[in-house]
Amino acid sequence: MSESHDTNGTPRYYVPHSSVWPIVGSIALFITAFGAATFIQQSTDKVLTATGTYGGIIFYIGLAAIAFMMIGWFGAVIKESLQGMVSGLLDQSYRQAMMWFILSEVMFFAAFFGALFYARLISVPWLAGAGHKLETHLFLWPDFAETWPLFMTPGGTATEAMAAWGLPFINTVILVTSSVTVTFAHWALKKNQRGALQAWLALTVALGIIFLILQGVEYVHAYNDLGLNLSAGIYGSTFFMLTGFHGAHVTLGATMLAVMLIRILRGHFTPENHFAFEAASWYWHFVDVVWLFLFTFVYWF
Amino acid sequence: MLDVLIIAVMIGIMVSLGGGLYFLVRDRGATQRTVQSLSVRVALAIALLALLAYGFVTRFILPAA
Repeated sequence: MSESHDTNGTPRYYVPHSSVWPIVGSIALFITAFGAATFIQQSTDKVLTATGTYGGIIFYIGLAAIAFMMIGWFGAVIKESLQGMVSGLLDQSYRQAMMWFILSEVMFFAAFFGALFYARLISVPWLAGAGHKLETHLFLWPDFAETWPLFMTPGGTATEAMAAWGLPFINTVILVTSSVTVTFAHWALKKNQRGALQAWLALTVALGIIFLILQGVEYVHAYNDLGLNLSAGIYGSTFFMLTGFHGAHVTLGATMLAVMLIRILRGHFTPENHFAFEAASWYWHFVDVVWLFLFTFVYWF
Repeated sequence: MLDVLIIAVMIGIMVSLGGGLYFLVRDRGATQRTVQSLSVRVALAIALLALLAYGFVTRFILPAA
């Protein structure tokens, strides 16, 4: 046996002969960036009224092309996996790629949590005259008092805060429950109990969708009743930036778990060979942990 | 005291989640260490919620809003 082969004789690296997906992906990315840039250029000074510009339409065509590329490319990878072409180093590469992807996600959220902490602990106290910034306070905003949540900005924009002990707490319980059910599904897969695996995973996806619907209800409440929106000062911007990007990640995680459910219903995965499931499940745990930190630092304290 | 406990549980959550990723990369599906780590992670998440709820009910730690 040569070193380039696994014990079962398959090559350690499976290299496909040719694939159309990288060039499809490149074109899709170009269309998306071109559409987004055109949309911004066409909607400067009239952001809310810029309906019907062709830039926006091109942007959505680009997004659809990216989705088409992902479905095609991931489908090809699944097919290769089912034909036993994934082995040795390629499997290790997938797992390391997952690790780098997660590292980028951690950095992404670290930047936004960093913005929140900077505003709360440094810039808002400065505007109220903390530290050596007394003159900023005296000359620019003498009437400004420091509070968090920031009910009244130095410029005079008022908002109400989102209460933690209501819908947000219910949503937290829903998301933690969905992590419990995905863990049960994980154990069921490890013990090869297919029925339990399907039931727990389906329940997880359903809980994820309920979370997103309730988050939408919360946003409507924030906009209509609390005056809490993206232009309501640093509290509103950090609130929507953190919870909004988290919601986008819940959407992505629920989509991945739904794909896993479809694959499981088709009989994919074994107790030893289930990287895609384990990665999607881990990602769901990650999204839940981000929410726990959000709930503690955005809503609670 | 309660806030120290809450922070300790949050650190525990990050460590067990990180452990799950480490075993996901390292063990390549051959062991149960990933799912074991993630089970610890979920148990700690429930503990965190219980602590926050306890702090709210006893008024030791009240939400800012």
